[in-house]
This record gives sequence, C-alpha cells and structure tokens, in this order.
Amino acid sequence: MHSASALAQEELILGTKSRSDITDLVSSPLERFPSKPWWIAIVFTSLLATIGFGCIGWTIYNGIGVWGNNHPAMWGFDIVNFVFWIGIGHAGTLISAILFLFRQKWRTAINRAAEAMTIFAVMCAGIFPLIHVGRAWLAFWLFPIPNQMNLWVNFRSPLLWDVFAVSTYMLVSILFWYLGLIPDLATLRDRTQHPIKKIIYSVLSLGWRSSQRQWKHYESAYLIFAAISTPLVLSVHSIVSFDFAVSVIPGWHTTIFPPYFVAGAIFGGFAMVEILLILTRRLFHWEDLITVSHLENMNKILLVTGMIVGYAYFVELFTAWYSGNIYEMYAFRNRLTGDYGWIYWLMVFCNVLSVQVFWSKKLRRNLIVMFIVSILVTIGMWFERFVIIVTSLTRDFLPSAWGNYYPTIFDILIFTGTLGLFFTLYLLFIRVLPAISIGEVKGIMKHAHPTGEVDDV
Amino acid sequence: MEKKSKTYWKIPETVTVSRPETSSALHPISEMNDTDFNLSRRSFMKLLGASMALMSASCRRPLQKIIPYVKQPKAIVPGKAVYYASTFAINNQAQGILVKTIEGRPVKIEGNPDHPRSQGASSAFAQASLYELYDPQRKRDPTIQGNPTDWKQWLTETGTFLSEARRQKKKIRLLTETTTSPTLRNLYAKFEKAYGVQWFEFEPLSQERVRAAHQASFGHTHIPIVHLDKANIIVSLNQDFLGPTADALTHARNWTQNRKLSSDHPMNRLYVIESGFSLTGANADHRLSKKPSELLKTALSLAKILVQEFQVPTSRAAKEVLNKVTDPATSFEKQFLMAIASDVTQNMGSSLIWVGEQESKELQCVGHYLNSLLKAYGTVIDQRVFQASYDNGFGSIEPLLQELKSDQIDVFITIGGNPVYYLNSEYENHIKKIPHTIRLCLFEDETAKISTYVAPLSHALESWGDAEPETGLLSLIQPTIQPLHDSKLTGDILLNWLQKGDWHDHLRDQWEQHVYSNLQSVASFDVFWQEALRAGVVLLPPTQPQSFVFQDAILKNCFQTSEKASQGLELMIQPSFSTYDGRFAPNGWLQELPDPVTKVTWDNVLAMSPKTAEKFGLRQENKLELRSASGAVELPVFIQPGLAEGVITTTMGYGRTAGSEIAKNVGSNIFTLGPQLYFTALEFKKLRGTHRIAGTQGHDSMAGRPLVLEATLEEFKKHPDFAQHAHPPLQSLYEEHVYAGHRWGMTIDLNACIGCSGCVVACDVENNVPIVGKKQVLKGREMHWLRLDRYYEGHKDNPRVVSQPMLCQHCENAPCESVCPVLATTHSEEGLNEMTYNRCVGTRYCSNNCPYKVRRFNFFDFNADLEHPQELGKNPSVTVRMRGIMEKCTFCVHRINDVKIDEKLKGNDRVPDGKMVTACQQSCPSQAIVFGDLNDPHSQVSKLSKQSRGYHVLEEYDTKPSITYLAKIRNPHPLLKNLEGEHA
Repeated sequence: MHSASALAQEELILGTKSRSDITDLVSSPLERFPSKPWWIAIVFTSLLATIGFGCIGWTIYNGIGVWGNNHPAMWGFDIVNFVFWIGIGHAGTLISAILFLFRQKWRTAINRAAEAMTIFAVMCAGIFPLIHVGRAWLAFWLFPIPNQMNLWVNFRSPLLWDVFAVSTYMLVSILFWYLGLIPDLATLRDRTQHPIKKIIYSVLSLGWRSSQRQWKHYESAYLIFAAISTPLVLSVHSIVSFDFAVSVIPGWHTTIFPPYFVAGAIFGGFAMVEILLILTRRLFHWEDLITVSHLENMNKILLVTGMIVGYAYFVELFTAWYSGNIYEMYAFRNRLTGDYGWIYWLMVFCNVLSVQVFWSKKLRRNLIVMFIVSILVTIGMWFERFVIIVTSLTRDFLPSAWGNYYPTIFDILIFTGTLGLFFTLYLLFIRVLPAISIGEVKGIMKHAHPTGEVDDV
Repeated sequence: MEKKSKTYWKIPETVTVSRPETSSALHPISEMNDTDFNLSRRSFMKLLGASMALMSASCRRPLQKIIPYVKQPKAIVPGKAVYYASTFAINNQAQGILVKTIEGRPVKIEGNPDHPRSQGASSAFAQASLYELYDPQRKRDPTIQGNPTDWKQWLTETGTFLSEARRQKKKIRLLTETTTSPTLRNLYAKFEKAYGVQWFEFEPLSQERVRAAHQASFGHTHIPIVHLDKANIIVSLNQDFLGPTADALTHARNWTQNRKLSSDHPMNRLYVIESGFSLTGANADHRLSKKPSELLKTALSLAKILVQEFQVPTSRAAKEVLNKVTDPATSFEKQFLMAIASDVTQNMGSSLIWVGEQESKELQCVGHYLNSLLKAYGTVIDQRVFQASYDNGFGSIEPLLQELKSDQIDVFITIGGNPVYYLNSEYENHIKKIPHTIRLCLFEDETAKISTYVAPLSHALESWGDAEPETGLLSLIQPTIQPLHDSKLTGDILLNWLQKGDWHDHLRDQWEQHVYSNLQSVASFDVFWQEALRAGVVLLPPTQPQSFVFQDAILKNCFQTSEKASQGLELMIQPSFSTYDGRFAPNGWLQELPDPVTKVTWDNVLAMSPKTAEKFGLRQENKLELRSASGAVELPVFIQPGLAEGVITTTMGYGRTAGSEIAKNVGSNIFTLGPQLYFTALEFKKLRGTHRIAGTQGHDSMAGRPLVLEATLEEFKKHPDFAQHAHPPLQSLYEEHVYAGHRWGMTIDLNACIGCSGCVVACDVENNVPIVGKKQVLKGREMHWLRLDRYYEGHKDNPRVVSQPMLCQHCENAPCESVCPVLATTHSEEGLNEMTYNRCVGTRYCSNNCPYKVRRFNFFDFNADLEHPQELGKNPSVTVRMRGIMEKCTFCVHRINDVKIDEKLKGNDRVPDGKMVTACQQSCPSQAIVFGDLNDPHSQVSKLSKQSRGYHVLEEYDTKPSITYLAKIRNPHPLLKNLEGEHA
C-alpha cells in the first residue's frame, strides 16, 4: 500500500475546489449546447461511420470477394480489425476493475471514459466476426441455439470460445459501467431542468437517493463486479489469442500468445484512453480533474506494457530459432525480411521504440509527446495484428500456395467506418453522460474521509 | 410434360425426355439447392417482391415440385448414370471415351478402357469438351448474311448456287479441318467428285513435315506409331510426347509403365533436348536446352559420336558426311551426348530417338537416321501400325491461298477449323470478295463472321461419326444427347447437297461395306453394329509391315542445312494446354487450367530465360511487341528458368476476336506473325506498361522443405526406405482410432505423375467446380479442388521439375475439423473429411488452419453466371455451391455412395477393391492415383501405401493424411549426375 499512498499524496485534483465545483465542472458540458469543435468532429466521424456501413452492406450483398481476402489469406483486415478493437476494449475494464482492486485512486478521473470506450470498442470489434463470415445472414449459427435438428456448435473451436468470451465481456462491461453510473445519473436527474431529460435520468438512476444504506450496497456491488471483471480482462484477449495459438500455422502456433496478447491489449487500450482523455480534458477544460499526473501514470503503464510486448517479440523470434523447426524459422524470418517486413519494423518502432521516450519524466509529462506516442502505439498495435495474421497466412507450409494479401478500398473504408463509429459513440457519450465519475472523484478529495478512517474508496 | 415431348436419339432404347424449358422434371436435384441465390438485377427485384410476400406467410424458400415421369423410359433410372462409348477426336488423333449421362444428359467424359488409344484414361481436352457442348455461346441457328433462317431455306439456297457453280464450272473450294473419319473423308471425296470441288484440309499443327521427312528418309509416308513401353532409353528432340495432344494419353501410359519400379523391367531413362520447357522436358531425367536452330547440329553430333566413338556401323556415305560435323560447342553438351550414346549403344533395339513432328524435315530425317542406327524399327517403332497423317499444312493449302489472292473462287466452303483466325489478315478481304461463302462451325467464329451462309454444326457429343487415328483402329462416335440447338452434322449437310439421304444410315452402310466385310464375323451386321457401338472401337487385323530403310543420301542435305547459321532471337510456337491451336479458346475450364509448367492461366506469354530477359532489360509482365515480315503481336514477358539463351517460346491459340466471350481478348494471336512455328532473327520492341499474368503458383522453390521426396535410382536401391527418414519418428500417447468398415485412402505415385493436369479438369467437371475468370485468379481465388504443385530445383539455369498433385489429404487429425465453430466439416466413419455445405457459414478458419491450403472459398456466387444450357451439364450428384461457403475435395463421396449402394444391392457388405474410382484417378493416363480401402489389406491402395517409397506430406505435424505419396525416383546417367549445374 506504500506506493498507492505515495501516489495518493500527489494532488489528484488541482486548485481549490468544493464538491459542488466538481459537480458543476463535470455536469456543465451536458447542460449547454454542444460547441463548434464537437459538431465538426461528430459530422466527420459519423460520415466515416456511414460510409463504413455502406461498404458493409455492399459486402453482404456481393460477397466477401469485394475484400482483399484470398487463398491463402482467408483472413485479412476483417480479423485484424476485430483483434485490434478487442484489444482497445481492454483498458476500460482494467482501469475500472483491476486498478480499483489495487486501490489506485487516480483511476477515478479516467475510469468512466475508459469504460465507455471499452464498450464502444467491443461494439466495433463485434461487427467483424458477424460480417466477415461468408453467409452473414447465418452468423447466428455461431451461438448454441437449441434447434429441432439437433445441430450443435463445436466446442473445440476457438472461434466459439471467442463468441462466449466476447459476449460475456461485453455484458459484464456494460453492467459494470452502468452500475458505476447510477449515483451520477441521480446527480444529473437532480440538476436538470429539462422535463424529458429528467424522465430519462430518473428512470436510469433507478431511484438513487444517496442514502447511506444505498451507498453501502452500491459499494459492495461495485466490489463484486470488479472481482468478476478482473479475470475477464485476462481471459478475453487470451481467448482471442487462442484463435491463433491453437492453430497449426507457423507464426500463429505460439504458447506465448495469451500473455502477449493481454499485454498488447492493455498497451493499445491505454494508448487509446490517453488519446481520448487528452482531447476530452481540453474540450471540457478538465485539466484540474484529469491532471498531467494522471496521464503520467498512464504513460508509465504504456512504458511497462510496451516493453512486455517488445519482450514477446523477442521471445517469439528466439523460440522460432530455438525450435529448429524449418517452418517456424521461415515464418519469422519472413516477418522480418519478407514482403511485409516494413510493417514488422514499423510495428517495432511504434510499439517498442517510441514508448522509450517515457523514461524521461519531462517527456512523460509533455502532452504533445504523449499524444503522438499514443497515436503511434495505436497504429503499431494495429500493425501488430496485421503482422501476426497476414504474414503468417501468406507464407505457411507449402510454397505452392503462398500468395500476398492486398486490401481493397472496401477493407479500408470498413475499418475507417468502425473508427468513425467508435468516435461518434464517444462524442455522443460525453454529451449525454458524465465522462468523469463525479461520485468517485469526490471520494478522493482531501478530507473526503475523516482522519484516521480506513481509506476505502 | 405432355405438351412438347421430343424424342431424343435412340441408343440403345427409345428414350423420351422432355425439353428442359418445358418441364421441371429434369431439374430434380440441381434446382433444389443454393443456386437459387444467383441474383441478376431483374431476379433481385423479383426475389425482393417474392420475399416480401413470402415473409408475411412463412420463411420457406419458394416451392418447387419434383415431377416424376408419366411414362418411365426403360433406360433411364433417375439419378443412375448410363455410359455410352464414343470417341473424342482432334486433328489426326482420337481417343476412346465413355460418356456418362444422367437422365439423358452427358455430365462427364471418361476414358474407354477397351480403347487402345485411351486405355481408360481421358485427356483434359476430351473431358473439357463437355463445356463446349453446353456452351451458351454456341451458334444456334443457320444464318444467311447474319439473319437467322431455317434449315430448309439455308439448304435450298446453298444447294442452288452450288449446282449453279457446278453447271457453270466455276471454282468451288472446300477447306476443312482434319478428320480421321474414313466415312467423312469418303464423303468429302464424293462431294469433290460430284460438284467438281477441290478439297483442302488444314491444321496449324499439321503432319506436313513429318510426312515429308518420312518421304525423304524412307520413300513413303507411313508414319509408324511408337511403343514407349518397349524403350529403355528415350531421347526426345523437341518431341513433347507428354504435351497437349490427344496422343499423350497413350504415350504417358506406356512411358510410365517402366517408371513405377513395380515390374522387373528396368526403369527407363529419358533425355530431352529441347528449345521450350515442355512437360516432357519437365519429366526428363536429363534435359538440355538448345535454340531451335541448333538442334540439327546437336542431332548430327550425336550421330557422329555414335559412329565414330561407339563404332555403330553405318554406310560410308554417311560416315563422310558425319566426319564434317563439328563437335558440340560446350563440354556439357559433349558429355550429354556421350551419355546418350553410351546408353543407346547398350540398349540397341530398345532405344528411341524421337524428333518433334513440327521440327524441320532435316532434323526429323536425322532422327530417322539415328533410329535406324539403333535398330529401333520393328521393336520400339512399329512397322505395321501407322498413325493417321495428312497433307494439311500451309504448304498443302498454298494453291488455295494463291487462288484466294487472285479472287478466282466462286464458292468457298469452310468446315470446322478456323481459317480466318490462322491466316494472315490480308486473306480476310479476299474471302469477303468471294460471291458465295459457306461456313459450318460450332461457334460464330472469325471465319463465320465474314461468311454469308453460316450453319451450326452439332457437337461431337450430339453426333454420329467415326475415326481412324491409326491403321486398323476404328473408333465410333455416337450421340449422347439430341442436339441442344438447331444444328446439323457435316455429313448430313453434305449428303443433302448430294441428295443422298441420312448420315446415320450412310455411316452404317459404309461400316457394313468397309469394316464388317473385312472381319470374319459370324454375327449379323446388326449384332456387329450394336457390339461396335457398345465397345466404341473395332480393331482390324494388322496390315503388312512396311520397310523402313533409311536413304543415306538425304544426310548430306541435312548437314548443309545445319551449317546455315542463324542469329538473333528465336521464337518457338507450341500448342497450348488450354486452347490447343485455338479451338478450345472458348472453353472456360481449359482457359482456367494452369499450364503444367508455367502455371499461367488465361493468357499466352513470351517465356524466356532469366538471362535472356536480363540481356534485353526485360522484366516479368513487361509488354513486348514481336514483329515479323507479315505482322506484329503484343505479349507479356514471362521469366521461365531453363530455357536456352536467346529463345522465346509462346503458345498458339489465343487472341481470338470472335466465337465466344470467353475466347475473346485472352492473350494475343501469334499466327499474325506468319504461318510458321519457328522464327529466327525476330525483331522486338519493349512497349510501355505491363500486362498482368494470372499464374496460380507464385513460388517455384520448395524452400528446402521435404514436400516432394526424391532420390536417384541408385540411392533408392541403397536406401529403399529413405522416404521414412524425412521426419523424426512419431509417437502417440493415444490409441489409434479404429475404423470398423471401410477406410478410404489414396496413393499418388510421384514417379508416375507427369503433371498433365487431366485430373484437374476431371475434378472440375465431376464436382461442378466453377471457373472464376482471370481477375479472380489474379487474386488467388481459383476454385480447383485439386491442383498440381510444380517446383523447380537444382540449378536455376537448368532446373529439374517436380509435380505434386495436391488435394484434400483427408487427414485423420484434420486441423480444419477442430476449428470450425459450427461443425460444418467433420470426419466420417469411413475416414473421409466431409464438408457440409448447408451448415457452413464461411468463417474460413478451416482454410487458414489447413497446412496444405487445399480448401476453396466461394468469394462470390461464381455459379450465378450460369447461362442456359450450362446448368444441364452440372453433375446432379454434386451440390452446386453458393457464395460464402467453403468447399474442397470430397474423395468423390457421391461416387463412393453410388458404388456402395450398387454393392449392397448385390448383397456385398464391402466394396470390392477397384470398384470405387475417383474422378481424378479415372482420368489419369499414367495411373499415378490409386484409391481404395486402407482397411482391406489386399487392396491395391493398402499395398502401395505400405511401399517403402510411401510418405505423407507434413507427416511431422501428425495430421495423419489419408493420401500417401510415393517418392519420386529419378534415373540419371552416372556420367551426368553431377554435371547438371555446369550447364550454366
């Protein structure tokens, strides 16, 4: 607990603010007409999303052939995007559940936005397994639906595990997020003047009256959810990694994948949280609530996970060499030097080298540097999935079947479409729900707890 | 059903089926499946409306009724195949086929085991001719100046001006493709006489030169057939006997007989000296690449070595000529020829020097000379049986071309072939000027486009006819379906002009007079005829042997020709595995069939060695313009290792401008360069831009992986179990699964597989595999369930080639099965890896996890483009797959079930060995593929799979494939073993 209290000694809320100041600061964006930057942003992102959905429609109408997928690379952008978005969706639960259990007080300012981001990212991820199947209208067959023909799903298939893992994760994330929202929804209910808003917030806040008894139940529930979510953080991406690790393809069949994927997911997810928060705090002038110290903490996590990822890259190469297996050795040599070699080195630069700047405290606290690094990490993590999926598939066992993969415009537009969807949802979120947990931030204010009381947020 | 019932042809029972358009009775299976999803714009609107209406009522698919026959025809049992013996003929060649018909429709062509030219196998061309039958682009009605008319008018008008021309003694000229049909040739001759016609025949791959060479060497034009099974040493000089011809079937069977290491007969050895990279070259034990112009010198050098260094007796005159021959240019070539010489002298009477039919007369004469030195006549070369050959080259039609040029012809009749496509464009205008042009053809081709009276011919599968590819071998063609369109047979049209009745009767009469009468048959002609139709072939007793005494005088001539130096780039034109000479250009199956060596589809290319390309600064896919005196052609560069420097090879039969949408704009027409097949001192120009070449295999090296295992014969004798040591010993903690009944398995003998790709077409036809077009092949989305992997090895300037048929291995531990989330691919209790199309949602995970990458995905609804009558040709036993699902080799599971049902009806629990034959196995000329029950210890497949050569690909991954490959054994000459690399 020593380090935690050391962190707690840092000022997590700057300036001298009363509790009502905080409530005002967080709620006010929801109560005024959206600003011009917000409008510009949402028009752009929703346009991207619309184009993306148009391309999805075109794909379902014509067939997967409109994409660049081919024989041997039956998976391309579709699964790259899926894994990318699932990875992004990791940071939220990590922040809200694991950091909660570890009593990291600084999480309070960022957990709400991170959780929302998680849900949106998982939504984006969820699109791909559904649309990438050849007969999208039958994608529901992946669920174990009882039927008169006694047709069942294959419990040996990692894709099926994915279905369970992702849907469970999605469900728990939404519930956890909603649970945390209840006290704040009540605050909004009490503040709002608008009759319709009032009805909506009233219904959603489930009759929260901030009584001692309710808080006691609430905190128990929150703790239980945190405990339930924690293994999910580790399991979802482990299971996603099984899609590859369980296969026989050189470059996929690797035991390091589960931890490597989890670390990568946290890494990529934190980068995305940083991008969103840097923009949000500027948009809503929340510099006092989401302080540079918050961001610095996240940068430290980026540095650590980035190095775990780098270690995984190295170990993969070592294992391939050490195995003596000609197929493995070739697969990794090809990653480094093959037709997609430039993507591998781009990935190494983004994911391993770029985060090294965070060894310097000065750079770690520099907003521009961390913004750029976060974007690089996001790009790097996307390319990581590309490297894993595409380079392995395009050069597997029989050279006669080798062939390169090139995305088409539809692949690209569907990806940008999900980016558009993600940011559109986030922009809507910050307009209708408090992007910072008001109740929890108040809980870490000085003198929130009487001196001597157990520090229990 | 009763409305418009038509009587189809009558063998052996009267068969009455109704036209497909008027009844759904013929659509029982194919229309019940997923093809209903093919959406044209109009049908999309229809479906949209229909589905709205249906949605309110139910979620079922539109109702379709299966209507049984009102009167069941005796010969037709729904779903049960009936086979008819017939003949597939091209040029001067023919092979016996069995046409499999289901409910009156031919759906598959197989080899006729009773026919000596096919011995049960069938070539890619023969199999794919089914595409032609159902090609929606076939010409459907007779036309006069492009306007559809009826036959009556067409025949009356043509008859009228023909009689008029005869009366006025105007010039009537007949130009036909070559046919070996004795009855049709006889009829042509009759027509010639009756109308004062002059008949010419033409084939781009003519027998003109081979006849001339025989005439010069032996004084007659009997072209003897060869027996490769009797040859221990075979030396081919540009003779691609395994190449794209109908005869390759016989040669492949005979040649591989002594390469399977199963008999006591020593393994044969094949030397190939060639200018291109042919399939024969790919199968050679030793291969030497030479410019076409240098081959004559090489052949003479070989003769010199034989006579001078190996003291093979010859005449003095010959010796004198040979003394003047210079020694080979390189030491490698010298060694190569020395090796051949030592081999052939040790195998006198069982060696063959074989020169390509299209080679110069001189080179062929030297070949004959060498064969007489080696006493090949009477042993390897048959002196009693001769192949059909005719004067059908450019030389033979020269008089006709002169007449065309001087516009003297009044009536010009062209039957088959495609003269306008082969001839220089200057003739086009002359032909247009002819007052009356008659064209009989299958497609509205280039020649039909400029003819006035054009009539559709019936397809061979709709026709009566006969063929005589070699002396004494009479082969019958019988119809297997009534003409799909309003077409007629050549014979019928000629007989109409001659006013002599019906072709079928004529054929019967001719056979009664000329065939039946020559046989000491006790049966009546009717019985004989029925039996001949059933067997498809009648063999006449062999004729007197001809003498083949080489006339030495010609050698001097040959030597003089060899001294003429030729310089610059040389071009060699070869027939294509896809189009042959252009006639199969409309054939989608063949167009998408990768060339066995280059693996290129949908194009002809200019193949040149890396060195040649480097010398001229050319790169793969660069566009190049070749120019000769008579024209220019534009083609892409293809880098082909193993060609001699300064040689470009390409294939004919592309660049069609009419006939069918598929044929058009594929490749370029090399005939624009002029009539010959060899060009020297060719001019070329690099053009801007590139032309994308759709190859199906981008990587030519095995990358050091143990995929095709091979050894030399010597090594194999020392270590017969070398194939077992390609991987560490495998041990399992689990007990083997026990298969109670059958356990199907396959062996593929890589020593016998020549890579001809006949199996690929067989599989396409049998399993309704769609063609996808060049664009999709470029994206790697071809659908072949069976592919032939071709790898180069050894030195890059003279690589050796291995071919490996790669298809679903039906692994016992199938990686694809465990990853499918919906259990669409599962293992059967007979060891098959099964694919349930209906259950597949298309995650494509199975393909990703397949180490052999043999699964194919329907990226689009490739079957949506089917046009009537193509759907009739689909195999009703196999589902036509819709888009979005995975498919792959099934081990012909529908055939397995057919056989099992048959055996069950006979009271057998198990299928006896040899009854179950897969489509690929059926077509294989070299019998490299063997299928059967691995649980039966006495089955051929069990025995073969236990051979020491047997191994599994990627065995170390413990997928436990059901396919056992038998390792390739080469038979190199000890002298040359280590020299191949030096050829650089």
